[in-house]
Amino acid sequence: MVDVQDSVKLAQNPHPRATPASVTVLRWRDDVAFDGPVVAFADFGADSNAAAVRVDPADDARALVPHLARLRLIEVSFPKYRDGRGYSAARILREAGYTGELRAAGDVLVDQINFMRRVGFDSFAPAKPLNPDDVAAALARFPHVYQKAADAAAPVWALRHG
Amino acid sequence: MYRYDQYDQALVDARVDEFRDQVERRLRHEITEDQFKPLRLMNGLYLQLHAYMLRVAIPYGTLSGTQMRILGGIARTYDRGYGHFTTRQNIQYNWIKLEQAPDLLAELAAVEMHAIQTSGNCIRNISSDQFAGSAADEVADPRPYAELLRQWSSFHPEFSFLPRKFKIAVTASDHDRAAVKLHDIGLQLHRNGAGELGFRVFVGGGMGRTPFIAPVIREFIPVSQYLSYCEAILRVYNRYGRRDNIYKARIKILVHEIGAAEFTRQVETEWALLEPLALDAPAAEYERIKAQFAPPAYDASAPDSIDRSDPDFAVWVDHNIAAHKVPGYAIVTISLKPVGGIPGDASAEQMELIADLAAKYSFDEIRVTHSQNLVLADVRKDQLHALWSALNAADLATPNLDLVTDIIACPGLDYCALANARSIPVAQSIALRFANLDRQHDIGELKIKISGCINACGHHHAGHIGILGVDRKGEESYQLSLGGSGAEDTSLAKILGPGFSEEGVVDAVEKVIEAYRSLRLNPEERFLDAYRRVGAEPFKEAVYG
Amino acid sequence: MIRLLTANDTLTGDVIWWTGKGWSLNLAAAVALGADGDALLAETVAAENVNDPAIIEAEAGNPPRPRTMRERIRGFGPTVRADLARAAAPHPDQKLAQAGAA
Repeated sequence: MVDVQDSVKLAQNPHPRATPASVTVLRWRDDVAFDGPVVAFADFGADSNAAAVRVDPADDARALVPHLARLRLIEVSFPKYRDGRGYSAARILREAGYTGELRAAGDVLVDQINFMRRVGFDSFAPAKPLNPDDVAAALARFPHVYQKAADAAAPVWALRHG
Repeated sequence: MYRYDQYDQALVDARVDEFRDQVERRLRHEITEDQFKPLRLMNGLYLQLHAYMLRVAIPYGTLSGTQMRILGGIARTYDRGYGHFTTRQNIQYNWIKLEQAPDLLAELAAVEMHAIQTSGNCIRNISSDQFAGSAADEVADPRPYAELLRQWSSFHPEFSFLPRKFKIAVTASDHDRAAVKLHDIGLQLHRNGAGELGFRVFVGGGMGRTPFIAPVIREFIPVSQYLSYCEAILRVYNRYGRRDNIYKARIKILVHEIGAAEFTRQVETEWALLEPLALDAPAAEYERIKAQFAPPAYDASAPDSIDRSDPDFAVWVDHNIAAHKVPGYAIVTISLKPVGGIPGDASAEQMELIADLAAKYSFDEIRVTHSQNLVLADVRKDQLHALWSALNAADLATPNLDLVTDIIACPGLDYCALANARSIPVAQSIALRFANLDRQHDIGELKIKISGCINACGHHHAGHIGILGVDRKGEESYQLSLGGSGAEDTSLAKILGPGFSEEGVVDAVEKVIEAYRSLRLNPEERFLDAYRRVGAEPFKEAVYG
Repeated sequence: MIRLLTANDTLTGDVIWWTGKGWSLNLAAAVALGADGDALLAETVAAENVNDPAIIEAEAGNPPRPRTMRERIRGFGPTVRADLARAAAPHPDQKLAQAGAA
């Protein structure tokens, strides 16, 4: 379970921290972080009190759609960053109307942060700590996007044609 | 052709900065090779046998003379004086240094080129018909749709960590010059009964260890919705493609394992959820891109005849010229297959010459074919002789399009870290065996394709004669297959029998060809048709006795 | 058969051979590994200063002749481009001397 006592609330341009190694969760939300138990996907259906669930790569995120109202936190695991199933899980959840915290956990490198933000993740629990300066640089790198995703970014064709 | 606007340029420039930063982090040892490798692959930079190899994207095989000139300059500055055109219409440089790669990419960005997503488990270069825009048999130019796909697939946040690479081809003719049914997604532009434009969608084709011909999963998707439909296909693949075994990870395996009907059902279900989300580009964007592919300023008074009095020129006209939809014009194929040469390679000087010739004779535009040749698609018939003379002087006028010496060969073990056997020397030996032009013309259309390993970058499954190099107990050994085709009559070649040494396979090919000549109905019956008519037995007999 | 340690230079991608004191571009300078060869490989892998280090087998000689075609091509260069040969020429597998640059 992630210790949200150490979570860092980051604005659009996160400020560098004196001890970047102490960062455990990067978070882009204004609400208070949920600190209850995160239930395994297989156990979620049976536990009517659960407000947080973990989605592993092979789990079908769409099965959560009827329960989105009671979910405060969905943690999508990335055991290996090359396994990109979590990106689809995130976007599916946002498309279905989920507005709670959507967290990418595990093998998350700074080079994936941009894509992850675009598919709807608003917090990160990387297994290896990330330098907030690198994160800020990565998020500021690409001035435009070519396609619509789960974020609010207007694709280039919308900019071209107003 | 498409020209970047400020948005395209900003993105390519940002990508160069990102890569420069990643390289610096690697060289400072802040990231390991294991972490760096997928990042450099997403910029087309492989570590091959001798050096880093960079694969530069040539979107749907179209580039300007200016861009070709820069590619030649890059060959000279950053490489060892040459480049290699590939079976996906890209160009590869074999001798790149990692520390120079960011500067190289910056030079490319300055002429609207890049190496984005030419490797890695993401959507690769969109390929298309090398005669697009000029062919008489096309419904419309497919390239604007390929350009839209290129943009949509670039930096796609959901589909950058797929189970495996993903290749899309787009055509607009019943004559398939892009092998659409052997791609992960093949899109054929056509009109429905109501005359509306849309795509026939093929999914699940491919070569490699387990070749498949793609089934049609949707007969018609309007052009206004094909992007969101592709989004649905990619999502189903990203979620359910196998990730346990790299040889079973392509979408063709998924389609085959669950069946085309079930796969289609899943895609249609997903698309029903995606379609209302307005993911498709608006009509104005299609129009904006299409306008950039407007026909060039053809001269309506260009004479529609060719002076064939020069006999060598006439031979070249007979083989390397294709009919253009506009009278007075012709489509020229520049052969990069000189007999005994390395298929698909071009020197810096040749690239620069071709750039000049394109500017002079073909509205400054060049195409790359998936058979590793180049095309000038809009040449006046009355300028063909002047063009041919210039090409001939540079060893670029071999009159062998689609003949036995027009061989597709992957780089093979001479260059590639994945290969098990060399392919280029086999191509050279076969070409030298059949060097005689009269003999080549007598044999007629015969597409030989050679791969140095099971990954099939040489497309051997789609060869009329396909050759696969394998490692058999430490020795190079070559398997012969017959009867494949990457055209609209798509078929997969079948192995003829036990393998051969390098010398043996050249002899075997000759025996196959002699058998064909003795059993063909007449000289006009193609090898492929003769094979389909009589089957493998007579060829087995001829080769193995 | 002797054993050689080879890798690719991270900066340039060049094929390099362990000489006992450092890395060389020339196969002829490669040293035959002793009993500590496996330990040396493990150290090299851990140090992450070069790419894909590996031990390969070769017949002793000057230059040594790697056992596999793949390693011979790494050591001597592409068989189809005599002009791109590496330092340890001549290439034992060169055949088509007339196949020059495109």
